[in-house]
Amino acid sequence: MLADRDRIFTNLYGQHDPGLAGARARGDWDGTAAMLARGRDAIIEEIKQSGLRGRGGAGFPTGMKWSFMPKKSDGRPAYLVVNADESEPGTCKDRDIMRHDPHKLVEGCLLASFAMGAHACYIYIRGEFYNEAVALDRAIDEAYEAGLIGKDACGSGWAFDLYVHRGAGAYICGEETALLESLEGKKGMPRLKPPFPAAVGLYGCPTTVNNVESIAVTPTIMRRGAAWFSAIGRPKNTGTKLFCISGHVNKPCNVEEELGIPLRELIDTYCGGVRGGWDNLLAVIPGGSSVPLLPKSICDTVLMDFDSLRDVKSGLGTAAVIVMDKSTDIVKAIWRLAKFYKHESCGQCTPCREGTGWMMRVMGRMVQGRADVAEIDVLEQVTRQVEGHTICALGDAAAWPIQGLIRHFRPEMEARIAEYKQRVGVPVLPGSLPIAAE
Amino acid sequence: MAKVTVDGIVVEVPNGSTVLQACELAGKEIPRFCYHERLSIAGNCRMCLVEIEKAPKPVASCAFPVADNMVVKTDTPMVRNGRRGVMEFLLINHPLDCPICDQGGECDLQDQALGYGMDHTRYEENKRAVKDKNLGPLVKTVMTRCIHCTRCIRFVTEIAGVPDLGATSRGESLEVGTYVEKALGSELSGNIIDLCPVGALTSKPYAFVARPWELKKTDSVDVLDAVGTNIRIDSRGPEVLRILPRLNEEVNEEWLADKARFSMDGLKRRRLDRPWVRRDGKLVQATWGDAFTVIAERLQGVAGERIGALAGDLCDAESMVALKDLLTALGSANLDCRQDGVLLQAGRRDFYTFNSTIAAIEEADALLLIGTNPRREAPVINARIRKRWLASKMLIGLIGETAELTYDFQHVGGDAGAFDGLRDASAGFGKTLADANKPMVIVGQPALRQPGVLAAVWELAGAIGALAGEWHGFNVLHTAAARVGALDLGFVPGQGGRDLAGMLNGGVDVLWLLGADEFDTARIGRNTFVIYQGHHGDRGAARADVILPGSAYTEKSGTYVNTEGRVQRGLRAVYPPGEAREDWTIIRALSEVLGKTLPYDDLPGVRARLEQVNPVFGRTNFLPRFGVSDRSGPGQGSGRASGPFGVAIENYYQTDPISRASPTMAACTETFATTPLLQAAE
Amino acid sequence: MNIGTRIFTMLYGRRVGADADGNVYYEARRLRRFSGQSRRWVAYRGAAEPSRIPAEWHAWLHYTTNAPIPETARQPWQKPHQMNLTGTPASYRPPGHDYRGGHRAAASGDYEAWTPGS
Repeated sequence: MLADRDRIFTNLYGQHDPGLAGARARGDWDGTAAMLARGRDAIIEEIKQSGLRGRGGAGFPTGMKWSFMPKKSDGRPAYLVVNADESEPGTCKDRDIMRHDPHKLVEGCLLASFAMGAHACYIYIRGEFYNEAVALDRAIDEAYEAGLIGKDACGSGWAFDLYVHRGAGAYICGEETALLESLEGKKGMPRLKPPFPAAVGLYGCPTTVNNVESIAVTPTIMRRGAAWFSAIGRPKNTGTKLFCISGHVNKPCNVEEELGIPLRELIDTYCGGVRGGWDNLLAVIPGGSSVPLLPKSICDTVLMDFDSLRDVKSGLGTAAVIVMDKSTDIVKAIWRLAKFYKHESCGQCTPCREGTGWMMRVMGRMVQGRADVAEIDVLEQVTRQVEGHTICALGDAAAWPIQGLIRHFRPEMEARIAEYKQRVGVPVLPGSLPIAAE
Repeated sequence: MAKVTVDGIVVEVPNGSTVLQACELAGKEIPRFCYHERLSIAGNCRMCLVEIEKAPKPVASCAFPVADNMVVKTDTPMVRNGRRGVMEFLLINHPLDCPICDQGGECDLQDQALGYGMDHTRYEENKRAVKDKNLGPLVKTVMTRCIHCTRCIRFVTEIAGVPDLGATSRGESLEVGTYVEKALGSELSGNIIDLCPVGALTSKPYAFVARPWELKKTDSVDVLDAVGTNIRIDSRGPEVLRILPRLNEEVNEEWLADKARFSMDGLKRRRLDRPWVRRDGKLVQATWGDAFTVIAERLQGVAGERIGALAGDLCDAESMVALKDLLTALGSANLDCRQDGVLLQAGRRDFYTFNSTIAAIEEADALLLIGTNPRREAPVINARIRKRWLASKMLIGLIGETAELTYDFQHVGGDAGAFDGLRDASAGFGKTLADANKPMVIVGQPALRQPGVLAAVWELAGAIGALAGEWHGFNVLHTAAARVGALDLGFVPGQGGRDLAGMLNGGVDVLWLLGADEFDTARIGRNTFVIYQGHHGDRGAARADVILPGSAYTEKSGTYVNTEGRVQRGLRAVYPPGEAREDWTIIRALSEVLGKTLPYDDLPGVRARLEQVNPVFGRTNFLPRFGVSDRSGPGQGSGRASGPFGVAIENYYQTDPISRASPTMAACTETFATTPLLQAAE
Repeated sequence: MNIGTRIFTMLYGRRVGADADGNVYYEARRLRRFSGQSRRWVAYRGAAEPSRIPAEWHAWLHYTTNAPIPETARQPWQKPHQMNLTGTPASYRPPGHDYRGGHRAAASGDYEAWTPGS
């Protein structure tokens, strides 16, 4: 359990003033100039020490990411891009940060940009987040007015400009290189890596792309020290994290907790438990739509952090916990995710473009049971053929939920197929349907 | 250099190369669809996956840069499964309509499915169907077959320089097409047919015509512009079915202009297939014997200086040398090849050739175009200029009529008056030229029609440092394939001879037109006896008194000299139709009837004679780079340049008898000539 | 039928039947020693021209059927039997053949010749 004094996002629920005065009252913008005065390397070192891992899903150490930026410019400017294109189903943490605590993000942008030698920072915000963009814009305007950012940010002499760019609402633009393409005005399609954005990023310049939460926690880490942050949580999975719990719980909520909290404790403490009691739990998707689900047997004991979830072949992702009780049609739920990925695939590379549609269609038949048991294996192989063969991680994200389903709920799928056979007879596969029937 | 181990073979590759290049160097074949050497890397087909030691996932070799001591494996279970998986994905939505697909037999997808794919499909769902796009009269689309490699998009955007093609929508519904339905506004659009690895983009005129294995492939040279594009003529029986580019890094890389590619259906229309003789004011069919007799009778008693000959734009050097020899034997020096009236002289070769060479465009750092529109006159050279411009943002200036080129340029002036301003090395484009290390000047035919322009441009080139010992930046861009060859042969008025203007309006009694159609035949004197030798019934044939049917460039083994001065030979792909014969043999046969028998009777004989006339004909496809040894300019001549230069080509698609006879080119004219060519891509 | 065949037929043959064309078919009265079949032959009416034998009798003659197929068993879609006309004035000439006027249909390899005024 996280003590209240250790919470970073003290206005997560919007009970207080999100404006500059309220933010100052909560401790934001306190001594920012002094933090800047410590220099670039000190900031990066502090973040490295804190063990902060990227909050966007992949969990890459943030301090290390920052240190990839060139120390000395070769003439090209450096950029910080904040990924506020929060589109992962089940995730709603960045939204509340931008809505209720935008100054944490603005201050974090300044600190991170300074640490990377960037004079400009872009916040790429999801197009649907209209009110959030308005709130963020207001915070930025306040910060400019107060001289906290601008030509002479906080009196440090560092020129810093912050821009908000609204996307058009495509899931793929949450992928960092697709986000950069979109920011440049092109079609949001992921770039090939290497070169990585730290070498060739926005407009061909060194760029770091960070999640909103990763940036928003940095001022507090700087203020309270890396030791404080790394003392929270488990080794290598330090600090606090916003969990977004949705689905079949009594009180879905966003909550800040330490990493490594047991899943059951998280649900029971903050969400009033699973609908109908813990025993009514069927499965949990622990980290947003793109990670494999966990059946109840694993949920009983699993800890919510990067490494524990990886050990059970899932992932923390964005820490969007989707809880499903026994009333859920689990196959249909995963089919819906497959449909989402089919819809959001950018279509650039072959395995994802063709594979997501294939997976969705087979899953669609699995929902009815109109399939053959052997097709479960085919489906599994198809997910393997997509996974790891694509330019970006969307292919992996599309494959994992289905892999998780097959891993944990294969008997359910087989039963459904058997039931269909008994009810209807040998399934008619689409390939053998006459054209006119389509 | 980086040392890379590919399947145990150690190769050294330059830093910055890709893994795919290293694999090729090691002799390992890597399947690919989206990767193409001349296009930017897309890395989206995922077919070229290889395993790299220490990498957790297979990597796309086409996009992955090599590192020293990298260990690459191209034949492991991981790689094989990866390729098989990608191939399965490519095929699930690809229609298996190979039997009715024009790409069948030369399809990358077919070949690679055989080599790397599975033997059956596991896909039970319905396939995607995509509506076909109408890309104009040249490119046929069957978009359901598209595998979204984006080669066509990249070609059109990067090399052709028109922002016409793109991908709309996303995911499975991704479609390649023009955003709004329109014809592809590029003169290089046919190349996307070659680039397409599947049958999504095929040739519209060639649709359902032949299979690649039925075709006889003959290497040749294109004559419809002066670039000398290397082509391959695919023929079956008596007809030319299609024309494809051949790789030549120094001339056309692997591109081919649309006119050259698609006008071959003009070779089947309006053909002269038998001799004709005018009797009582009407042309009647005749035999070769009749025709020769008529000519011999007419020439009886005509003085040598009353006979003239005009060479056309598509002539091979063999026929021109034979005609020149015949005229000389008849005592005439009235020869001309400059139908458009340009003031170029035979003699010093660097006054009339593209001296820098086409490949050297990629070294130039400033370019001045004078009275030329390379996009229409030589699309392949234009692509080179764009390539250089993209790579280095080379600054380009234009004097003459402004045009929509595929790169940014500065319009310096409209006529010869702009030359003086460029001499000012302190400001404007003059400064750009003066600052350049390798400035290049390209002067087009319209400018050279004005007196003194050649000398003025030469002088300007000298002033801006384009005439250096190591760098020859003075270039003449021709539009006629035969022109440089004719000038090399001295097919210009000899001592006391008349030029084109002198031969017209009754300047000569007998005028021999060797495929010459590009001048106003109404200016030929009323009583002039016209012998037309050529392959198409065009303007010249309509005026002729005797027609001798010759052969088109696909029907004879000919030597052509391109605008660079590069001597190239084309081989005969098909036989000339009907009674028509190879052109030089006609002249040789007639010379015997006239009693002035030419001293050669086989092709090696003619070619030996060519070499005797000008040694450059001795070495084919060889062009040494040279600097300027003699900086003295051509003579000023009389008269002054005045007025705008005008344009060389009004309608790109119809410039010569072949393309004028071509229904495809007529369709292109209808589609494009009314709407101006599109703005260049940024 | 020459004289030798006529004598042979008289000595050994048994008339089986005749076709519409007037050819008469015989088989030997005795079976052959090894094959266990009887020899079958035809006596042509007029010149000996094997292609005049209709399909029904051809099958019998070549031991494909044991008994000749009755000509009444012909199907409505079967054309009347016709001998091979190759080499006769009635033989087939493809379109464009000189004997059929020499005007063949346009083919893909054709070209369009220029004529004055066109």
